[in-house]
Amino acid sequence: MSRALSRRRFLAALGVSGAFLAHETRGLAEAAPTKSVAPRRFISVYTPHGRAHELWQPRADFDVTYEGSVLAPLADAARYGRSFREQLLVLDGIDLSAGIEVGTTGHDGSRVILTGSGADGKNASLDQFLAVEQALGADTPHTSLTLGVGSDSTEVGMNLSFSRGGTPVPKWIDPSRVFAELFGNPLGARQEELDHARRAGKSVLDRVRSDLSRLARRAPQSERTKLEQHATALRDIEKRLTHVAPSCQSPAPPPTFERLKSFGGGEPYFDAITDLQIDLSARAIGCDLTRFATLYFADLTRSKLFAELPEDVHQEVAHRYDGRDDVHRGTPESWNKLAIQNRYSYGKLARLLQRLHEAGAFDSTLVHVSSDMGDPARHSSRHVPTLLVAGPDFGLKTGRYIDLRHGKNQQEGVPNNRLLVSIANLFGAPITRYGESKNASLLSGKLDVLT
Amino acid sequence: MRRLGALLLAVCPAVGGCGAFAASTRRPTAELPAGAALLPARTRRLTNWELERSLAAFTGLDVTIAQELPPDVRQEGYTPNVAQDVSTAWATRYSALVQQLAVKAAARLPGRERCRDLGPDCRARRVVELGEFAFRRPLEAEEQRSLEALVSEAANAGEGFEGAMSELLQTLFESPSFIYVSELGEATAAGTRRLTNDELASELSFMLTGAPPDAELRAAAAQGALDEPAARAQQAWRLLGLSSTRYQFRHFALQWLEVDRLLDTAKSSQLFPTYDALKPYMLAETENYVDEVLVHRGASVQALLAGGFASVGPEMARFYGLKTYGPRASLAGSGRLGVLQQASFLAAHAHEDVTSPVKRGDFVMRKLLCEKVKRPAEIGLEVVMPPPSATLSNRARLSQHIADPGCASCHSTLDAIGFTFESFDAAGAAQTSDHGHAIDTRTQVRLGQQATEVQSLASSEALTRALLENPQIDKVSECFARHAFRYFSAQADPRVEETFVALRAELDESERDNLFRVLVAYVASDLFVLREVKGT
Repeated sequence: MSRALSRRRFLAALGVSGAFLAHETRGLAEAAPTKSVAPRRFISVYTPHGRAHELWQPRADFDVTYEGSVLAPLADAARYGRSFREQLLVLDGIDLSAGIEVGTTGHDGSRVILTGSGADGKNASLDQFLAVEQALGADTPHTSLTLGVGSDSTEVGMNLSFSRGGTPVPKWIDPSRVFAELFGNPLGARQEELDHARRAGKSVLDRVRSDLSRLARRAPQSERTKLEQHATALRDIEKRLTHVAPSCQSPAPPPTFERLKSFGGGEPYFDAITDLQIDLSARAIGCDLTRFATLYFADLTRSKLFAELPEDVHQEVAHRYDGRDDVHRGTPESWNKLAIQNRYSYGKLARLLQRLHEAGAFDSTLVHVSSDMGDPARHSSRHVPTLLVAGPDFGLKTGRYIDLRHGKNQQEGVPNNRLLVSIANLFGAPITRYGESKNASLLSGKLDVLT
Repeated sequence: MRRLGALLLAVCPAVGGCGAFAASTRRPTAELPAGAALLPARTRRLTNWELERSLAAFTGLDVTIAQELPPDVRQEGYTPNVAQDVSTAWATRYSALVQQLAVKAAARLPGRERCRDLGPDCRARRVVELGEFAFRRPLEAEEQRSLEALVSEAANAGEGFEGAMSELLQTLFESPSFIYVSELGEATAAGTRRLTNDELASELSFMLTGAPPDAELRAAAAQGALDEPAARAQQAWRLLGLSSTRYQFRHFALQWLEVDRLLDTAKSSQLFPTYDALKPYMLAETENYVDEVLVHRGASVQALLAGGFASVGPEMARFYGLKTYGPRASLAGSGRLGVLQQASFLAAHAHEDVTSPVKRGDFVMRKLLCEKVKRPAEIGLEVVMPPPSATLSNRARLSQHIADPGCASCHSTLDAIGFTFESFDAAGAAQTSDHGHAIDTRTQVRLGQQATEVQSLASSEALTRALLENPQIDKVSECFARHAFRYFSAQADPRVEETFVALRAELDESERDNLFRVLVAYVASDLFVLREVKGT
């Protein structure tokens, strides 16, 4: 699955950046889907607290607007400019199986969503695999974008994106900084200092790259992945140094927030920060500043966003969810409470889709949405709520609910690894397995039902 | 085989209860048994804090960048580790920060009166002087040529002296030779690698102080003195005696206790309205207590767990109901004994609204007994949160863990240990009742999966004392040393850990419990010096 750089190629890349970039660009042309008119884009979104399945599951004829439906915002044309129902795929029964196997579940489960691996996995998440290893992010100033709201923690359950080697990719949680990185001048230089910054920056980078090359020559194989990651970072900085300002219009600079973090006093700003992160990422995609992004939404405890819910939506709502199954009737009041949070998350998803549409990038973008849990009261990583919203360029049969659950009481599901394989294939990566597990059967195969 | 004991005694300063070493009878050896697992040849990116200290040492400026960078990755909960990498986000932010710092530092380079032109002599002198300090080793000829060329190019582009020096400093700060600690060594006849003197100096200094080598250590490295175990031990004791070294041990202790991110935690504002205001004082108490214990009471887990005093100001003294405050305020009669009864620990191992005997018990199992506690999913269990109750005590509510056989396999021990802490609420304050029920901290428990004896414990104080008595004390002490080794050697390979444990076992029984003594023995050993190559 992973395309390891040979030592020779790696060292060459460190020493001769221009040649490397040219090589990578050729690799991109070879890997890109040939029939696509526009480069394909991928955004993955994490939503917290699982789902109230009773109000998440579409009803007959793919009805997502019945009373109480948490998916209703995705069909709310009045609020979001258009309905996205026809581009929506609702996947029921996706399990974070490789995580379950080794105990990476519950609040740790987001680790598995894009890696298909448990906490000890060493492979990259799908966004990084496509953008870096498959070089599909090489042609844009930003190889990928990793955004979050409320926490920049590198803890195992707080990230979607992981580089090869299994290290979390840091999240940008401050919209001002995201704006500066995307639409400001490279490395924080003022406009009048741009030429100076480019010359000096190039000079510095050349020496830094030489030093990395020297280190890599002495380092054993076991250090390769880490030093490759450093080389990737240097290439990304160089791309931005030489990048000409985007031709599309910059958005207005976002306001500065006094506090940003969960439990550090940032909670009241999370709604506004989420909107800004969505708008900035959609604009970045639309301006072709990047083609790969992940968004990690905040746990909304103490945000006081929901007047009808307790302040602690984690303990008092998600943990109190009492779902219905074949042998248990459940508690509808608990579904309705959790649904309020779910509907809020999908409202943000609708905003993202709206912004992508406005930016002219909707048709070529695949949006993947998931959570670390299905039933949040059980901290279960089975049947995690999974959505795909695919622009027409992807040729998927959308506007459908696909029930992948099976077995006794429909408790069994399908490993998310198959979904990751399917998405990778949509981006031209000819892989047949994704992730790491002692149980190889979890990793192979794809979801034929998507097309 | 070289013997270390006499060497260590000869250089042992009055740090950390050193007097106990005089009773040594058995001595650790510098050489390792055949086949002993070694640390791998590797490069380690410095932690954000180590970089902050390095930049401060280099520039002489007050540098605060650690909190400005994307957070460090943790392994086993510790930030020094080989998983730290240089991602695009990290590199971008770091570059912007050191660019600003380089401008400031260039404006106040020492020796300006002697050398501030951009002619060949001055340029070469600056490059060598600054480069060697940054890289913590002599520059290679090609490095020197390239850096001098950088200064020339800057001059040709119209930069003045400060502009060119700023570019040079930025380059040095961003260079892998500055950002990474090299443990690559040189090949030996035995197929291993042996760290160079420069590498040994860096390794020793970052391990014990979290900062780059000082002038004395660099001079020892330049003379090749660090090949000798006694010289390494002497330097180690010297570094342990520096007042700034306490910051490194604070970092370790706070990460071991899992309280270092206390400021990012929250409690129900209805139930614990003063928690947000008190959090900084709680954290400061633990920091100050660690300082007191390590400097004055001996660097042992016993002292951390059972100092019998609090290092508090008036805020925490009021919170605890103490009559006095200060660096060693008596805890007599308070039900508190050491770090396990400090508010920081109790709050960090609790939920937002209610105590968590599970988290508290889990800590004791993992961090004091080194017992592997399986996560529920590993044994095919889905966690069902115990339903809330307006009438039951937390202890009664959690009793269903014990009633369910699947849960009982772990929770019969975890919860039983955790119940001893029920006299402290979720924010660490003393509590005497829970939902109208008198608090019951009594428990019966086996301390560890191999323990045969069921112990009756009346409180967390009794638990602490039981952990520090035979037969648990050896296990607890070894477990603490294992965790210290994970932090100070920046890895968690169980095979290498066994080599370290064997090394520690060669120390006299009375010395094994002293963390400083154990670390110096490690520094003096071949485990510190040799590396094995994984992959080619």
